[in-house]
Amino acid sequence: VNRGLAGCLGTGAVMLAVAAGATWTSPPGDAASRGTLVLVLLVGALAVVGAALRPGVAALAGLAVLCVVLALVAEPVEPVDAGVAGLACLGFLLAVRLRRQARSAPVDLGEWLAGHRPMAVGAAVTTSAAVAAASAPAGWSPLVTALVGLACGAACALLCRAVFR
Amino acid sequence: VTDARGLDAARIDDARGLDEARIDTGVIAWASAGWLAAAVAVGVLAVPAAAAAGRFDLLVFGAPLVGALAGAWWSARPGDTVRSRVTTSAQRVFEGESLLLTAEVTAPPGVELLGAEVETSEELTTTPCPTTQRPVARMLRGEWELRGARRGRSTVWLRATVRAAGGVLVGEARQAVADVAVFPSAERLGAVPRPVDLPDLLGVHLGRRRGEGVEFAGIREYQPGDPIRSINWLVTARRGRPHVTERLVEQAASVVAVIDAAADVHQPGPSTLELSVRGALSVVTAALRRGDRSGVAALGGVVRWLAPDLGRRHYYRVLEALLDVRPGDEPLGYRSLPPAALPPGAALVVFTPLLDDRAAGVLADLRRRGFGLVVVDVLRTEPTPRPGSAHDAIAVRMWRLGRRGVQRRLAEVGVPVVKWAAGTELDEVLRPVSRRPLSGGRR
Repeated sequence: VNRGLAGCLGTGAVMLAVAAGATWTSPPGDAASRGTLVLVLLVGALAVVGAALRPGVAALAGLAVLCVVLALVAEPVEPVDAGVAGLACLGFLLAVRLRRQARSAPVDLGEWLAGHRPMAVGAAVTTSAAVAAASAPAGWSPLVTALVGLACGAACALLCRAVFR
Repeated sequence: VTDARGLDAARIDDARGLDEARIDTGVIAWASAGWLAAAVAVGVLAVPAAAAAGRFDLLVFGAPLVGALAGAWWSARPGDTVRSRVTTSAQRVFEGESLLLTAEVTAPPGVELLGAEVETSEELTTTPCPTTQRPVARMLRGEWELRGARRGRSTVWLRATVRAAGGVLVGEARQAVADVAVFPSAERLGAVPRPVDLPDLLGVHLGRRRGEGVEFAGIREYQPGDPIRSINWLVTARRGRPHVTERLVEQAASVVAVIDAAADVHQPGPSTLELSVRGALSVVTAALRRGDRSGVAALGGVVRWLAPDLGRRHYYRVLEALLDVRPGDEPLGYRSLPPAALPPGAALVVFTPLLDDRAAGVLADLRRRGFGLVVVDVLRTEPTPRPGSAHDAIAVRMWRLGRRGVQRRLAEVGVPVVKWAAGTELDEVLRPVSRRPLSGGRR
């Protein structure tokens, strides 16, 4: 249980840190938007602690992710940073889920990870495809951009299949 | 050891039907989780908005979450059966008694077992025992106490809730795991009405017939054919002629409990039909315990009858028959019964709410045919006039007069009517009419 608590807090901290780092390094906005960003991330931190302590309350985990979304809406970030932030959110949500299950009954971590492998593979494939498509030069046509994204996703899928065979 | 029904507790335990483990599989009905529709709706709205605003970074942010859901959905091949191993401490209980149901539920690999519940119909009430555990490694072991609430047959269902594909799919598996019969409870009666004319069956009652027995009946002169051992030597020596001692034969009575199932009136406490069934069982049990032949007949609704007989096996036949007594709307009538159900000379104890005039006619007809009858009125309520309505009060008075008229008609043909009021034991009700044998014979 303690490891689950640490996992929740750790993944939550990573999620907020990625969001804060991505937004902080983006082109600076005005002071008011920075203040709003700090406030949102503070609320997100409280929500992370709450979700870690009470994983059964799904609203707390949702609030933490919503704070990250609001931070990204307030400050545009690079596609890679956005993809990493999305993966960090997914990790946090899975950690909360693992903690919730572990509180009700013992969980075999290996079996649990194996059961969630399709989610991880799916996330990796779509994230790589989206990052590749969003990072394409503005001059490319939408069709070419989509093809690049699909190719990148397919390559990632093949890689995952080779790794998890 | 004897219980309130006066029967051996060990014999009852034998007949409860101690159950062996029953292994079943329930098919899981899978469905998408409730939150998935909301998530898809948010995504459908957010993606065009982000694209229109040129915020492709937000689309990239959502890509891992969408991909995770898609991956879970795409790879979801969860098993479709939940396996359960169920044992019950009994398959038959009386009202107010409990049985223990133990279940081991196992979900297939890749499926998360969330919990299990036991569902029953109104005949049983269910209470989970504190020993019920949380699911561990796709398996749950639970115990539930099932208490007999009312007479009838109940199917016990086990409902398992499962989840798969990372929470994207939720499912339920519902399976019938046991059938439990709840027998009506019976009161202990000290006395049961019996007829004057007893059939030629060996029993415990002193009849009017003389023959082999213990109780002294009189002394008369010896006649050819009399057994030598019945000669009273003192009287013979005194009178100088052979005399014999006459004794009363010990005979068995036939008692039939008749249930008027033509209507079932709900009232405070048990309904009229439930009260009738309990009363009938009490009468049958007491008669069997006394050594009499006893039977039961339900008329008006689903017709069930059992001819008078003896023994423990017959007692359980009566219990089974009473389980199936259901109310109907047919008028009370006994013509559909075979003669064996109402043997000549039997004492009939009729449980009826006396709401139908035709019932009084049928009872009077039975009395004229030579049966000794006692009518137990099981109606404990009466219509309530609506406030402010003058006609209702008059109608209620007329209804009371009608019932009084029915009782008078029955009294005129020699049928006693006793009321089984709330808070009164049936023994108190039947004891006064059991002191003297019921007069039979055609009138």
